[in-house]
Amino acid sequence: MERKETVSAEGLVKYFGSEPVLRNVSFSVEAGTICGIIGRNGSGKSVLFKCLTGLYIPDSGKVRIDRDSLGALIEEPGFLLHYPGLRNLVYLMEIGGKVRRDAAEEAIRLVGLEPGDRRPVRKYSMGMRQRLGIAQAIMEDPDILILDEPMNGLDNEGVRDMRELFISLKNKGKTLLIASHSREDIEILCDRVYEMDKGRIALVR
Amino acid sequence: MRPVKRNLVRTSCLVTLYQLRAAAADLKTCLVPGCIFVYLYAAVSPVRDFIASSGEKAAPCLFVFLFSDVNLAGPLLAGMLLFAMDAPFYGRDRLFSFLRAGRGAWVAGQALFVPVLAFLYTSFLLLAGTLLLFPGIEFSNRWGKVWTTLAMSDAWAEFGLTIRVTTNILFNYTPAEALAAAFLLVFLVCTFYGFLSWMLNLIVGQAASLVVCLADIVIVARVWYFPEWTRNLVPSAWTDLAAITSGSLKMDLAGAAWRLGAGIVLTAAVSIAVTYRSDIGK
Repeated sequence: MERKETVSAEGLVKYFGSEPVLRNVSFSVEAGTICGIIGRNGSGKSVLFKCLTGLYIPDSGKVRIDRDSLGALIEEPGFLLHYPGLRNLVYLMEIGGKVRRDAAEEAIRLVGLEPGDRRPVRKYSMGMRQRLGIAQAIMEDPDILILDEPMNGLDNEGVRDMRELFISLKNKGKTLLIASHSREDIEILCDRVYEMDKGRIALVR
Repeated sequence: MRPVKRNLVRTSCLVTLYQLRAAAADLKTCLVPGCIFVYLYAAVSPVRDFIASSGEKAAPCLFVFLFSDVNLAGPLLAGMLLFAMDAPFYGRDRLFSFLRAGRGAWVAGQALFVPVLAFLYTSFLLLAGTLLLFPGIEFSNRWGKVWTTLAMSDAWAEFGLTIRVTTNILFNYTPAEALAAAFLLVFLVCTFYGFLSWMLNLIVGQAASLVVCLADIVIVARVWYFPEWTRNLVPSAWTDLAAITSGSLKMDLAGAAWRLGAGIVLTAAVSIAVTYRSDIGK
């Protein structure tokens, strides 16, 4: 069955000064699938994701993605550290235009945190902040999720929980694009896999 | 659930609100006003001594005269720079707010944050100037004996005041008018330095930007010894309502406001345009 492409990039080129960090990157992700991008640190995965989310402007090439229905987690999750997790998510939802506190609470539960936890985020462990980062990505029920190293800082149980979560999201028809340096995660989760190395991308399967 | 269609103005205001929430929890928000208040407390203690010795109460107009002391004006305006020096405020949370706002609304929200910051900072200085007169304060729209005596006698020298209370302010403005005029000048100058800092952060880097802006602010202590035309390049000198009213700056209040407004529009336009076309947070 041929699926519609929801995320694609064509001929992306990005320079930092005179150094190319993305070299003619082209790929696509079909709707309702999980696509993995594997590569070492410095291979260009984060830069690619920043171009997809609009944080960076590519020097040339095209990006096709519906940014109105996009959730993302790139780099370390950055929250307002003096506020509790739920309040952080509500403040972000306000910017998005529609606050549904129950959706934020549900997202927090889905990632294994407690919505009623009144501790400020600065008291969270790295794993908890990562979970909260995933919660902020999914809370508005976006059609597309871009997740850069989503398993960072998670223990084995957390990794299992997130794998289950991502598979359940895929089964709901969501499209996920995940970057990871862990081949195990990519093998278990992904329908299609690309590998990045020194700014170049190649389809693996 | 598909997101609601974004309204640019509303979303920009929400980005500004988010930025304010981030600033509220920043250590600088307590530290800078706290240090400035302590510094002011020491600097205006001669005024408090005079009020106490006179047995009278003063109208809450200390703020009007604070910037007449060039050695006070510099540090007071430098405080604003400490808040604005991180413009365009690429916090680690920028991704989350940026994704939801979109590039246009996010940049507009950061731009709106600068005058909001300037307004809050100027309000703090006004409040500090009012609190520092307690308990010798009387909320009245008349200058009263305290300010009149300081303007028309040599009591300021006797008590070692460094701020100048001048008759040209007392004769040309009511206390409320003077406060409004001074507030406007300080607000516009703070906004200008906020956008100047942002623009220079993008063009020459944060370190150089801080040096240039700080130098332009503190040079107010020496600008009166330089050729007259140099005062056009030092907006920190334009916060002195007495100098504007007396004609020392060769511009009136409206002229100062227009020049500052033009400077704000120019620096804001460059800052916004460059940020909009840049990688966010690189």
